[in-house]
Amino acid sequence: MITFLAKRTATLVAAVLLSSFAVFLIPYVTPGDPVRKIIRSRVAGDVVDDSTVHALSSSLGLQDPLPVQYLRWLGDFLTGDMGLSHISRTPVVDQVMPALGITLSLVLVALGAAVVVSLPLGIVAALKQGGKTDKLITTVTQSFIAMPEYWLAPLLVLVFALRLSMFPSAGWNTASSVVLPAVTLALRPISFFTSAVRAGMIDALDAEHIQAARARGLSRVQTVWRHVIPNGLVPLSTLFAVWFAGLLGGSVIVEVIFAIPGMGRLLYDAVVNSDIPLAQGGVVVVVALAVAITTLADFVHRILSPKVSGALA
Amino acid sequence: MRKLSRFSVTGLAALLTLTGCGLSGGQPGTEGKVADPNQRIVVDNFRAPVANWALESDAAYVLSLSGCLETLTKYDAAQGKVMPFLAKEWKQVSPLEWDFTIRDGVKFQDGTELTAESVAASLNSVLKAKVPARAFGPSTVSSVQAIDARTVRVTTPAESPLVPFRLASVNTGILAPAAYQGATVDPFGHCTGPFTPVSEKAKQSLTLDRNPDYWGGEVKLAGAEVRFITNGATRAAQVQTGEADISLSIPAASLSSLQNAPGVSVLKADSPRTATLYMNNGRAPFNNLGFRKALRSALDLEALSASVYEGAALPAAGPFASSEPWASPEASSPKQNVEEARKLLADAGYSADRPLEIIAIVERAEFADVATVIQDNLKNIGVPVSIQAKEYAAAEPDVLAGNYDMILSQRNRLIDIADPIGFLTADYTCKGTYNLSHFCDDGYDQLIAKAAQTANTEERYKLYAQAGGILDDQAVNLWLVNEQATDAVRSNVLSYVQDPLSRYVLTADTAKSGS
Amino acid sequence: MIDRAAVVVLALIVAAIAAAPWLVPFPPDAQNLAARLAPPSGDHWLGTDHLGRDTLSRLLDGGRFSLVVAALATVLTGVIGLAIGVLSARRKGWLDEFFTRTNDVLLALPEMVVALFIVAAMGTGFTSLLVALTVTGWTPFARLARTLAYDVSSRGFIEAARVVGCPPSFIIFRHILPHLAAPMLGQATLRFGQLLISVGALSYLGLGVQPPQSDWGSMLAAAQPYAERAPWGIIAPGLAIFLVALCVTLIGQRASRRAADPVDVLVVEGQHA
Repeated sequence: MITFLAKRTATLVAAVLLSSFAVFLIPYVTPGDPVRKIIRSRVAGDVVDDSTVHALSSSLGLQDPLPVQYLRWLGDFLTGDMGLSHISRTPVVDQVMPALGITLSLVLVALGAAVVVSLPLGIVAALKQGGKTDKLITTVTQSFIAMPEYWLAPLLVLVFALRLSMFPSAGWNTASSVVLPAVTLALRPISFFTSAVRAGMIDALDAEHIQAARARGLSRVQTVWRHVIPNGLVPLSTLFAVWFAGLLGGSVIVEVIFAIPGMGRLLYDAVVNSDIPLAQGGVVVVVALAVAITTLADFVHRILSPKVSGALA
Repeated sequence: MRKLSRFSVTGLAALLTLTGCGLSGGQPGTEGKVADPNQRIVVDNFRAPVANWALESDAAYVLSLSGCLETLTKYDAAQGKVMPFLAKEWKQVSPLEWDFTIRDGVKFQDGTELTAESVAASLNSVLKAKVPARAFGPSTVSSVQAIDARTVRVTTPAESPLVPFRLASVNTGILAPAAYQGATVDPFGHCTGPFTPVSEKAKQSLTLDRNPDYWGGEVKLAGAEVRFITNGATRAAQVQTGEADISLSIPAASLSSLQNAPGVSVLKADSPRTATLYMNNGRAPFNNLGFRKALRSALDLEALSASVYEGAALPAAGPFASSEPWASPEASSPKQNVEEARKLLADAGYSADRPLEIIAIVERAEFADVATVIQDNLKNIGVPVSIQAKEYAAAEPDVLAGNYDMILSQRNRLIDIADPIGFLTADYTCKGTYNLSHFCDDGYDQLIAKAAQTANTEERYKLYAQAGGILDDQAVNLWLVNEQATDAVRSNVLSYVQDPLSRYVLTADTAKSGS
Repeated sequence: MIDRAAVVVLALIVAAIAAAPWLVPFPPDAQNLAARLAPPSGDHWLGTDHLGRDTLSRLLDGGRFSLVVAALATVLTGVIGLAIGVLSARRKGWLDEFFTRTNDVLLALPEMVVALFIVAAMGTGFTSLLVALTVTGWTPFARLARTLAYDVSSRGFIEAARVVGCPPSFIIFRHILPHLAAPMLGQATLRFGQLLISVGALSYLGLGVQPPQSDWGSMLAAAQPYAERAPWGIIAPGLAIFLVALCVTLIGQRASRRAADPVDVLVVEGQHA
């Protein structure tokens, strides 16, 4: 257990350092002068003269050599200061936290919906294994993986927002703003969740202690409820955590299409505009959360079923 | 239009403006509606404030359109004049000095009085900014001083008739002294305008309330929310569904659905933005006048504006828009003439040895399509062209160094002040800082130098027209389309006057009826 | 039955796209500004786009870019993943540790952001898309290869071969790899579908082809502002991506199901893109 946690902490640190340094390199590997880009983002228009570029560059601390700048950022970060965004000159924390909150709620709603849909589907498919219902459910849910978000989202907007006016077409203003984006995000998890539930249940149905329970005289329904379903849920919990971690940064397309001011959108804008402090703050938060969540999931998983952990290690 | 004399053109333009005929104006269909003073209004703006409200940045535009920030003078596009705003009157007391008399009885939203001291303090802080504003920086203004309780003196390094224009730029907005106390500017409660900001959701929206003590009279709206939405289609959708009352800068693709939507009117006005194909005059084959003229004859500007812009932009006639008072009446939009183009090409001795590259900047989404249409036009006369979509910042070093063929970009002529002198100097004089075309002509430079000294507006405009004529004759660049500013307004919004540069949106008179 | 249908549909689509230069009714770049956003008709089976170009022709022509990038990326990630996975399973020790750590780190990084970064650095186009997809996409193969290799290695005949004196590379190539072939191929078909969707996503964001070249993702993005007036413009390219990905996924799921053990199925299906 201690080694497990120690290894995971090491992973966390490595991930954070690696990703923040990589982000740090962005303005130096992309063409164009980063200081001019920053100036242009504040004041649309023409060329700025060199003295201004110079002045801004030194005031932002961009004159120092790379390692020095990075270490300075790292030092500030360890004391909780993520610095100021180059473009808005407001603290990165003030932008990252609200964006994170928005993405967290979007992802939770999407994954929650996915669980609610996939549980009954997976259970039914497992119980009717091999039959027509099973084939139908399996094929339909499998086809969800093939559905691109950037196709589904505009179609949903076209039908439900523009033609039927049932939901807003974009933005994050009212409670109904979450529906279309969450539906878009939920499709692919539904696919994986359903097949995981189904597979877990099928395994459990075959297992010996189920035969034993049936032999003892428990009805089919009772068996299913008390023994099979809980076993079917185990792989689902890991998957849920993995998807949750993945969607934190992976909701970029949906957030861009629906103009949602979440984490994915923040990262996208920051990378595109070379707003390094913002991009670094965002990436570090996402990476740290992702590692933390998957660690927690693994931890829970190991406690719940030591047998399965071997295969998934 | 080109047959009338210059003066009639100006008058006609003004008249057309006032009647709302294709130029800026109010909306139809609002007669008979009564303003409800308890209404709040939602405005969708196309960009969020940056640089933490630093007035020398574009954040000043957001403060101005929200009805918070006001300046000493205001440029009235309809009348073509600089009008008093926070300053009552002004006078050039010596070649390098201008005195502005501050209006009496104006209070900042925190209760303090507007005095010459506070004006001078405000202007000086903008003057000393690290990234100075184009309109008001050390190269154009040497100092600002309060010489008595109600007079502010602005001193310039060289004689310039344009000082009142400079003080109409939103970057010279006046805030109370208390706004400058911290490390960054705090506009909340420190403006003079009809609306006072009360809260902000970072990068999303700004909420304002009515200023009950506004000097300009009764404010007809109870408050407003200005939303920052960068996606044009979203802005269009929000005004269509009623989530927003006013949406600024509607993209061309959304215009037709808005124009057919009930309860929404679309306002269009000429804006000083022209989509331009810059050619590198300093490099073959573009250093040949005949070649440049051939390219000009090959383009079908009418088809371009009807297709990619869906009529929301009109074919350009030279570097100026024909409704601008300094445009030459003889300027006309080039028509496509493929035979002539081919002949000019042959005469210029062009041989298609390598494909020429157009850089299409990605900041304007439609430019990829514009470049594609141009590519097709040029293929027609035998000039092979390839397209590179790039960020401007990525292309800039090569372009400034003269290492490119063509770049498709867009230019706001009145980007600093309501006079094209800045644009004409920076873009086309031999030492201009934004001379992407690498064009150099002594006659042109002399004209511009003379215009910079000319105080008489009529004379100056004549010189501008001449300068524009030189650029047109030399086919320095290909001016493609004059973009129009398109705003969409719901029909229950009253007294909305469109500003093509989106500096003035919410005013004391803007109102909304209950229905 | 379904997977047979899927194979047929896929074969038809791929054949059509491969034959695109001869099959297209109009040159994909031929503009007709007078006939923009035309609905489907006898001349233009899928209508025209916002510059009057035939949507069907652009669909066929654009499919080549999308499919080729996705296919190449699948091969590259498959080979790299296989190599790393098998080696770390066989060598164990520090290589294995390193692999697991790297894998965990890469899992935590948001794929789209890494891709954005790479394309921002390298400029848009074929190569940078390929690099972006490869860098973020090899881990599922490596995980699968490693798990399967471990599994196979624990079987008796491997130990026997080692004891007899067969060199390690021989063991890998002759005994281990054949057992991995079927599940890896199944995974490859699944990954191809996902990579195709990712190519579309990056193109949609403007990080793909240069105009006037078309590919499915950028066609979708270009048609979106006109969606209300001309919905077929977004239906066609999206449907193309969906159909190809669907066929490939269905085939892949069936293939891996038939080839692998139940445990492997769980492992394969537990990979998320």
